Amino acid sequence: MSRGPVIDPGQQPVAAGRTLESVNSSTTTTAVAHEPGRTRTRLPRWMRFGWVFVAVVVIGLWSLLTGTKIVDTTLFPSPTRLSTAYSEVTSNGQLWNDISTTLHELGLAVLLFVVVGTTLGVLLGASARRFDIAYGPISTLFAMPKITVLPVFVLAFGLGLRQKVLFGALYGLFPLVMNTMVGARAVPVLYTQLFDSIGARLLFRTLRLTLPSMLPFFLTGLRIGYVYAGIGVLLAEMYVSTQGLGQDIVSAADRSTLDHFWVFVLAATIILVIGAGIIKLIENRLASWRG
Amino acid sequence: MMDKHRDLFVKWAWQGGLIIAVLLAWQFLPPALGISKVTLPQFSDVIEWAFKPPLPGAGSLGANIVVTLREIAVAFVVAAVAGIVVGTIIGSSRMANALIQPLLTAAFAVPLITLIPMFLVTFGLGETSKMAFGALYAFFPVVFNTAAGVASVDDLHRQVGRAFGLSPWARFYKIIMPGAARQIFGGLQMGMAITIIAVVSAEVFGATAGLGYLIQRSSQALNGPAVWWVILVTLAMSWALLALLKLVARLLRVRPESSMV
Repeated sequence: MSRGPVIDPGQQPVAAGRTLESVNSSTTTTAVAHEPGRTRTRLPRWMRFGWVFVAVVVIGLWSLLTGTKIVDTTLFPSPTRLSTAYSEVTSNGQLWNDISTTLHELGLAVLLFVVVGTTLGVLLGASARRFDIAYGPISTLFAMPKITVLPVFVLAFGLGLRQKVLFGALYGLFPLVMNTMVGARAVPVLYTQLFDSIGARLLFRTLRLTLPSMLPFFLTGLRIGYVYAGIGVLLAEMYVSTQGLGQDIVSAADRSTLDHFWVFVLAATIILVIGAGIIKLIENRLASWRG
Repeated sequence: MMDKHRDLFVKWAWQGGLIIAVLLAWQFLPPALGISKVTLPQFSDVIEWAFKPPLPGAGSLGANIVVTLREIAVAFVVAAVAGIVVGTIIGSSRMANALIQPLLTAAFAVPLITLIPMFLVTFGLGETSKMAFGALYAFFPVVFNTAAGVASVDDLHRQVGRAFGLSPWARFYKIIMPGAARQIFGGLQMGMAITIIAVVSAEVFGATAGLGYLIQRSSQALNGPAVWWVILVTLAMSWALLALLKLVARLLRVRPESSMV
């Protein structure tokens, strides 16, 4: 069975600090990043603000390419056209209505997959054997195109809210289950022995050892799962719906109003980036607190 | 050593038992719970459908598999080559990394799946739109992992290569590639999973052939067994493709590792 990687859309990759191997084998020692002989040259000052620089370059190039009609402006509208399109879709309240629809569905989906995913993750990660049995099949299912069951969801749950929430939750479930499973196995052996030796009770052990050890893994799973659930909800809306950003995206493309299309795509992007960013902030704060 | 074999056996026995339990539940629960045959037909209905003639006008299962496989193959190869080339450039130069990486990260923050309608409008309902979309989507995991892998190659090894006067190509082939192989393969694995997801998803939204198209047609015909049969075939196909990639990694003696966990 494949022990596939957890795909993390929309996040900058980080060096593999916690691979499963390190969780399973080296639980007594702390792995230290091994970077031999790397000479760190400092970047020039203007490049340390890479993001600002890139944003300026992108907008500049974008205006230039669309202004000179080198790129097809019906596909990629110019910045000014895009801001006009923005005021067009906000003037009748359509954009905000549909954003709130999508957020509503996404919120319910997140609630659902957090409850189900945490329970499953803790249950399946509770023992090494269960972990071994379940992790492979789950990661295989994760790599499978889940869109294939979307038509079945529509047949079973109708066209409304339920089908979108359930499909979004299914999409977000896998990353959270896999990360929680890893987290449940990640309690350092040394600490377990320490808690054993002082005869710690279950409640104390849960509050002071198990939960704090699992929390970073849970948050990572939550963040990746949130983005996936968002993609799931958007997909379900794109497939069949009367409202929501996904529906806007499809109908804008069908009407060949690609400038509106990009406004909706950007709105969807912002929803996912802000949500994931908030969770990432909490993760970082925890990481610095753990040292 | 004995213990290891026994553990493996116990694990497989459990996994086999779970699959049998799921199939049994699939066979006996739907009628017991009164679930409609259109949404969840019994397992035996699905297997029975496999031996019936295909849906009229949708083409045979084999022909549709061939279309999907062709789309996946082209998309994956394009994504892999482009991803490894760009990833190597980013990973080798701090300047390129500082300039290109934020751009790629920003682009990958867009839920790319929402771009399917644009690809269908631009490239039409045929195979090209799926190849283009799959290649774009899968490019990202390959490029990120290649860049991380190449950047992690020990500087000392590079210096030794230069000291021995290796040509840039020889340095790339003998030092950088082996050093980054694990992460590149991790990226390729992820890229393969994403290619499959992207291609099948695009097919569901608009196609003239392929597995996603077949699912869409079957569900429009309210033919539950046909839908579930194609779902099973798609599951088997994705498993086989990922297993094939893993086999290649094993033949090349690489243990894939991904940096996006």
